[in-house]
Amino acid sequence: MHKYNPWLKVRNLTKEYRDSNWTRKILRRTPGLQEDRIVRAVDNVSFDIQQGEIVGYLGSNGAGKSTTIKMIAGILTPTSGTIEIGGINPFIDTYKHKMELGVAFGQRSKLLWDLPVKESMYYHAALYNIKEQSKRVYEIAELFEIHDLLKKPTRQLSLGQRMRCELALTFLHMPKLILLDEPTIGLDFDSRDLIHKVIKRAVSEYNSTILLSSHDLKDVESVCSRIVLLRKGRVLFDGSIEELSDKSGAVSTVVIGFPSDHTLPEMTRRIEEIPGVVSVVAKPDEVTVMYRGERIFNRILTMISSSRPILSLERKEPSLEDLIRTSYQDAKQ
Amino acid sequence: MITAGIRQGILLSFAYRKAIFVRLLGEVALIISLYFLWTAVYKSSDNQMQAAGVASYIVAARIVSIFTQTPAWGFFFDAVKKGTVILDITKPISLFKMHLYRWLGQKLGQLLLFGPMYVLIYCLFILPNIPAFEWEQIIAGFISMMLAMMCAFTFELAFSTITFFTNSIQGLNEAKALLVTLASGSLFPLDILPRGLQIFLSLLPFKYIVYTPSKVLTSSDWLDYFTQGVYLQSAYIVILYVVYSFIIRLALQRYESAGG
Repeated sequence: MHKYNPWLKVRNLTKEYRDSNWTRKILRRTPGLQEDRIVRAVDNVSFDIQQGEIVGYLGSNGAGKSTTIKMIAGILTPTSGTIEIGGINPFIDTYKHKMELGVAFGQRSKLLWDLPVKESMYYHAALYNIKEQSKRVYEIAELFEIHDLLKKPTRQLSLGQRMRCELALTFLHMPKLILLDEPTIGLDFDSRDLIHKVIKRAVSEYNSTILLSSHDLKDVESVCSRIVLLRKGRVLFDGSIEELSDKSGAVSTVVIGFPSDHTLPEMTRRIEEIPGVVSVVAKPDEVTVMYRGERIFNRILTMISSSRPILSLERKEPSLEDLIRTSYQDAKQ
Repeated sequence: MITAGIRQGILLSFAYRKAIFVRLLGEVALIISLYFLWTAVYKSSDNQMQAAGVASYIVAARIVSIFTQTPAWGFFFDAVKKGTVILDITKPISLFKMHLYRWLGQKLGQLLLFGPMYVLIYCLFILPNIPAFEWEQIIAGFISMMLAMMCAFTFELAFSTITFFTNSIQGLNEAKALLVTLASGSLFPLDILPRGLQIFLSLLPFKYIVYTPSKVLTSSDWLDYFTQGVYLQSAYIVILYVVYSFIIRLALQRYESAGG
């Protein structure tokens, strides 16, 4: 847990669904007629987020991401636990919460399908009591590079253009909290990069707090400073990607090249003695070290560079996907 | 917020102007057919109602039907099916107000686009058949129609909440459309039905959606229809709103469309 003054506080959040199907049960005359199955979608989740922070909210299908997001959005009421956003309770100060909230779900559109994008913008501006609406729409259009799209009906936009417009609409009223669920789903890499760029730019302009849920880990690596990883409704990890790398124990590889035959048995032995080093393979002009954890790399490098001239260095880090997979496998064991 | 919603509705009706125009052409054909059909029926019978009165009622009822008509699939079906209702819920406006302003805007847009045609139909088919032209009757007819629109809106909104509980509403929707058409008096005056059935229909809201405002617009006893109608229409608006509020609360509590 991070030690700072949190702006979004989630404490012991739990959501249970009652999975009942009376008709089917009665018709089939199954035993346990009146017993409903309780499904715990979110189980005692706690985390804090600082204002202006972009946090990736990750997990496999059914891990509880969307349920948490819907509770933070004030759509679903938790079974137990509390949510506090900038000092307000979203279930009591509903109107104030909605005024400060921005939501974008990749597969669902807020834009009016048959009207020009600017009409959706003006309607949205009126909903959120924005003064000087034309000026504001112009500013956001500049920021999200959608000026040319304002007069086009939504139905004529490509998926990438539509997502930029969706995000522009989300940021239009400068919300303090933004919930993004799969904002780049179905986009090509160019559109995705542009979305990453505009999200980062918008956050730096408005100091909005973002909770980003995505299965595309490039989104998370590009824009998030921190991740919260869920498994079966529980928080499996909360911290930076580097911290996850250290914690997960996923193996990294570094290949260090030397000008001539410098790989001495003595050096190989010393590297092997570093805690966290998995294996060392020495050749006449290079050494390949496999290790676990970000800090170990610095120790290996310090040790080698103090005694040998280094000609080349090639490093292969585990991807975020590898880290998450390793974390899941560890949790299963 | 109200003007923004109404503006959105007007723009939407302008965006669909060709579709509305084609539908209105069909409506005009239906009005003309019904006019001559009912005129012929009443001329060949010794019913106490005047043929001209019935015919003008039918024309008025069709015009009122156009203005009280709600979306064919209800207000929520599309949003629930696509999952966008979740975005609507997060907006700082209730679903009731959001749909009401947009719907009123669409009706206003329709009036702006095809108003002259309605005036022409009124002058051709209704005005010659009413006993005496009175501005008060027109104003009362307008108020009655506004209340009828609110009645139709609250009923449709309450009915649309079924979408949250079922996977398909096609059958229910078709049954509802048939019931509203027959019980509201949009195809024939309810006076021709047996007395018992008339009393039964008085207990349902549909009569006040088309029959009442049409009678206010065309009958010589328009004041009676108007005063009685105002109370009952207002009562139904309140009742249907309460029903809607109750069901939508339950619906939103169990709504889980967004998935994992």
